[in-house]
Amino acid sequence: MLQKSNLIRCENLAKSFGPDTAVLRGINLDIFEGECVALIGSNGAGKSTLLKSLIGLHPLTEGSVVTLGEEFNALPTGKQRQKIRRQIGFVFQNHGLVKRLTALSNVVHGMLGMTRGWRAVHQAIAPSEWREAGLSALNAVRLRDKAATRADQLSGGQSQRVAIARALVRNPRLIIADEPAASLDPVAGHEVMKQFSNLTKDNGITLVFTSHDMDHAARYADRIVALKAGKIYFDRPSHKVSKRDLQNVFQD
Amino acid sequence: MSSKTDPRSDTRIPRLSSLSALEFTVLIIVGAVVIVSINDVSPSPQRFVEGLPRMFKLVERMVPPNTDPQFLWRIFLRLVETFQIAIAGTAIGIALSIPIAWMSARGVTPLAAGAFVFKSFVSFFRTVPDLVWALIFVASVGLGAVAGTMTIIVDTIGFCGRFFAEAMEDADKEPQEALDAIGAGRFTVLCGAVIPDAMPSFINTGLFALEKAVRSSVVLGLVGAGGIGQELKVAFDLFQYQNASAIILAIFVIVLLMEHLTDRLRIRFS
Repeated sequence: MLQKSNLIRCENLAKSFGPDTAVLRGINLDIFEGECVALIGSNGAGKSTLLKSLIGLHPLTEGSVVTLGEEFNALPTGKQRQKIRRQIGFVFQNHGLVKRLTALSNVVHGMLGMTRGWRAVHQAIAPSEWREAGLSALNAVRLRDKAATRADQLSGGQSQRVAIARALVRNPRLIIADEPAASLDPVAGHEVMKQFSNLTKDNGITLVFTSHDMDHAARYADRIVALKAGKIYFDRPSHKVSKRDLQNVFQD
Repeated sequence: MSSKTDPRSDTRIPRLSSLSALEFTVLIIVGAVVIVSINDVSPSPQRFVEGLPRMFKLVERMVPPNTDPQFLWRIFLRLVETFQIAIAGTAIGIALSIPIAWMSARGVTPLAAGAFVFKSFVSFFRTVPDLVWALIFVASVGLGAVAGTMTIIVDTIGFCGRFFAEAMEDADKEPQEALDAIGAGRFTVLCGAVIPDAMPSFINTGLFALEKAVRSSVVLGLVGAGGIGQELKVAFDLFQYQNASAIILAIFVIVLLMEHLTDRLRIRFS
C-alpha cells in the first residue's frame, strides 16, 4: 500500500448544540497513521468539540466519524466504545493527575480499562509488568527519578509529562491531546511539546493535538488544520503554512 | 438652626431600628415561650437551695473513690470491653460506610436515581439517637456488648456515611474525567481517583467517629448494652457512691486520653 492507512475519517461532520448554535459545519478530515496533526483556531472555533467528536464523546448532528475502523455513532453499547478508546491515549489541558498518588501510580492508571484493569488503581497492587511499563514510560519522559514523588509535589511541566507517560503506557495507536501546553509557561510548554512530538514519532504513534499557540503548531506538527467559525479554514502540511496564514486564522 | 450645623442632629437617628408588627409579635411569642419553659422545668431558686446540701452530701459520700484492687481490676476489664465495643463498632461501621457513601454520593454513584434511597438510610441512622438504637438492639439480641457494638455500627454509618459521601462529592473532578476517558469503570474510578483524593477527609472523619464511639459506648451500658456504663448504673442503683466516683474518674481519664490521641493522629495524617 502506497497510501498510509487512515486512522480517522470525518465525512461532512456537523455538530450543533441547539437550533441556532452550529459549532461545526461540513468538516471533511482524514488523519493518517504516524502523523502529527495540530488543530488550531481561536477560542470558540470548535477545536475541542471536534476533538471530542473524534472519540465519540459527542453525538453528531450530521455526517460520520470513523475512528480506528469503527464508526462511533453506530456503536450501540458503552462496552464497544470502551474497546476503541482503549487503543487511544488522552492528554488533558490540566493533566488530570490524582494529586495524592505517586507519579508511578498515576502512570499505571493508564492501564485502567484493560483486562484485569482494577489492579491498575495503585502501583502497589499492579502486576509487575505494568509497573515495569510505567517505569519505562516515566523514563521516556525523563522523570524516572520522580517515580515515587507525589503528583502534588511536581511542577506544572513535570505533571504534564507524567500525564503523557500515562497515555504512552497503554501503547496506543493514537494519542489525542486537548491543549497539552496551554497551562504551562513558554519554556515548559516548548519542553513538553518537543518531548511529546518526539516520543510519538519514535513510537509510530499518531498524535492529534489542539492548540491556540501558532508557534507550537508550526514547530511540532506535520500538518496544521485550522478551524475558523466551525469550518476548516485550511488543511496543509506545516511547512506550507506561512506566518500570514496563521495570523489570518486568529483574525476576524 | 439648620440640621447641618446642629450638633444634636444625630438624635434624629433612631436608637433602635424599627420593627414591623409581625416582627414585634414574633419577638413577644419567643420571649413568652422562653419564660414559660424556664418557669416549668428549670430549678426554682428555692429548689436549688434545698437541693444544694443534698448534692454536697452526695459528693461527700463519693469521696474517697473506691480503690480496692479487686474492684479496680473489674473496672479495668469493663473499660477494655468499652474500648472493644468502640473499636469494633467503628471499624465495622467505617467499612460499611464506604460502599454506602459511594452509592449515595452525587456524581460518583453508579446508581443514577437510587442514590437518594441510600442517602435517606444514612439520615435515618443518624437522626435516631444512639440510646434508642441501643434499646432496640438490647431488645432484639439481648443484654451485653454485642448490642452495644451494633449500636456503634449504626451510629458510625449515620455519621461517616454522610461525611464520606460529601468528601467523595468534593473530590477533584479532573482526574475522574481523565480516567473515565480511557475506559475505566465506575468502581476503578472510585478506587483510583476518588478515594485517594478524599483520604485525608476519610481519616479525619474516621477519627472523629472513633472519639464519638468511645463517648457513646460509655453510656450505652446504662440501657444494658455492655461496657463501663453498666457498672456505673449498678453503682448508682445500689447506692455505692464510692464505686460510682471511681468509675466516673476512670471514664473522664479515658475520654480525655482518647481525645488527645485522636487529635495527635489527626495532625499526623492531615
